[in-house]
Amino acid sequence: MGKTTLFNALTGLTQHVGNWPGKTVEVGRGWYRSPAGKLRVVDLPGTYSLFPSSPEEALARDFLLGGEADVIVLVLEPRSLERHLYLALQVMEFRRPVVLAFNLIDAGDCRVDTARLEAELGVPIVAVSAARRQSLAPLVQAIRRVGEDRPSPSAPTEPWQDRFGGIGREERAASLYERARALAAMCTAQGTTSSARSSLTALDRVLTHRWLAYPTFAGLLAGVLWLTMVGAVPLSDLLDSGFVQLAGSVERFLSAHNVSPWVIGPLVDGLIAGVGTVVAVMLPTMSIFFLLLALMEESGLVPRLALAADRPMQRVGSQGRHCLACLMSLGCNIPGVYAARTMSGRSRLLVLITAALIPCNGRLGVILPLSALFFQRGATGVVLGLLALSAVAVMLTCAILSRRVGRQAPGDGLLELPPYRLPHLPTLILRTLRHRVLHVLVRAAAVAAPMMLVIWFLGNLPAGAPLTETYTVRLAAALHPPATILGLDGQMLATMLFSLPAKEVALGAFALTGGVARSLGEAGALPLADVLAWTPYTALKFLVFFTLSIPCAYTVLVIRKESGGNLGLTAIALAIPLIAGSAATLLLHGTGLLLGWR
Amino acid sequence: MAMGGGRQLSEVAIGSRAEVLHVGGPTAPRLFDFGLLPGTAVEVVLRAPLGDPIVLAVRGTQLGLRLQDASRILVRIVP
Repeated sequence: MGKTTLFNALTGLTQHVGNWPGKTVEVGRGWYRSPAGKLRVVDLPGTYSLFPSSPEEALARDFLLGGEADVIVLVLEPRSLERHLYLALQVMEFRRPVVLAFNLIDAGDCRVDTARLEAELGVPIVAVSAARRQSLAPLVQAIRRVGEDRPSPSAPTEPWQDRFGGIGREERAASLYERARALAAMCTAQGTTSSARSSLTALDRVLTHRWLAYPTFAGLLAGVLWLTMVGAVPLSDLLDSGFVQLAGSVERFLSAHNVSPWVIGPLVDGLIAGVGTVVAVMLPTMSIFFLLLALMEESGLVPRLALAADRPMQRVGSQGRHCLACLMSLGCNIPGVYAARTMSGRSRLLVLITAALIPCNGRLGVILPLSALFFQRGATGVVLGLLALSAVAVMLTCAILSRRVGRQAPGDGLLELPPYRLPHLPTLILRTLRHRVLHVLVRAAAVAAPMMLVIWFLGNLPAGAPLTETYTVRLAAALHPPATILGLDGQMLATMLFSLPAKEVALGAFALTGGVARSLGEAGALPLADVLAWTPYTALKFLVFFTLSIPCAYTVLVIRKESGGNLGLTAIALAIPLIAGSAATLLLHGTGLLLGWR
Repeated sequence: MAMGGGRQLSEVAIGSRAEVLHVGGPTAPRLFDFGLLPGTAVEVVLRAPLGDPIVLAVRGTQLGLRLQDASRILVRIVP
């Protein structure tokens, strides 16, 4: 049982995740409740040592040494006992109150004499095995005991910053590892610690094979996307019909109470229909995608992908882990942006800048039906082509910017490859749905909601105007001249603007910008084929532009936050997709002009 | 570039075991945290599909490491 599994077991449903004050790092917090009283539990990001190499690790260090915690619980993994003891010894050097939780689940045939280890170290060691609360009682007792023995807050705690200067890091690490090794050898029955010959599995042979590795990963990824799209359709339809019913009942209720249509309209056809579209598309696709991705992560597949991707990403100035951020972005750009927290230096900035170039599930939810409508049998090829285009755009951006974004050191590409294992499903599901899906979705919907109201009013004002003369249609007309430069039209650009709250809104927005519906509620009933009279070539130009060019508003907000409020970087992150999308569309349009495509 | 009889870790064949003699280069401090220190036993386990990075087994952990960084680590092959 790992750190977060233990946290989940301790806190149950009381936990919540939020930014650490003043930092762009998220931390889980919750309560352990029992008749003996409550314990506040904080789940820190994992770290290898007290010398941080990413914002997450820095937060862990500050928290561990800053004296905010009454008791620090460190989880020891028996398979790499020495490395975990190294961190424990580092923390204990600072005389912090420590309890060691010894993970029995991943122990395998590794037998460790915890009583002996406890005697040697002089801190309590408790074996934890199952995610059942009862089995946690000894751990909680140890935590309470250590907490009570803790020196009173008035006792001066040594300023820890002083201890990091001067002394050679190598000497410090060497002496701590020597101790860790001696302890591990003393307390491990079969000497399994470091002499264990690594077992090379058949899976590793495939995933690092010169010719098989990349096709295997590509196939895996295609499978994840396919399952997401296919699996989400029935769920999305179900949610959609739920929102339609909700809209209907709200409308009937309000009409029965003689509420003005100028309240009912924006509320029902603007807000409920708009937010309904977002939730109906995002909730199922994000849930399925991120559950599958979490399975790949926890089972150990994703670190192998990062390993395989490191060389190509290194060539363009980034690192293999950047590829994982891209993978997240494919589900939703926001977790993709968050992935920068685990990285340092230049790669971190590149992740922030390139995340929006990846078509998220929201964009794919528009790309797929449009491709199916205009390319029928060729649709799969078109979608794969667009994904490849996005990958090229990411690589090019990295190659061009990597030497220009700050003077930060490139990421080091160091990567731990954990052993393959079966994930603990309840933890995985709970964590994915809470932290990656709901956490993002609720905020995204909140950001989108006011914009949905604006869209409704643009489609219904001036009051009494015919469908073809609303502000929406006038906006599309005004955008037409600049749009033609790229070979697009005003309806397309206006639709891009309307999809700022959430990209999946684009499908419904076509009916508004085309002047055939006033609101997203009305648009929902119109078949797309009746709204769009495009040739496949026209459709392709829109798809290229749509794939790359504009992220949703919430993504921009998150990039700003994650870059520490750096407006310059946020502007670059917004400009790059726009430039890349325009350039690609212009290239296609120019080629079309030369070859006489229509 | 042998130094004191050492070989660069980047030149060591897959499947070989070695003892670390010296860790240098900009990643050295991070490598110390992973327990890659003079005297540590390592094994080169495999290579990424394009030959870089390589994967080491060190103290019960598998660690991916770029050739560039591995070339700054000097080792002695252990038969």
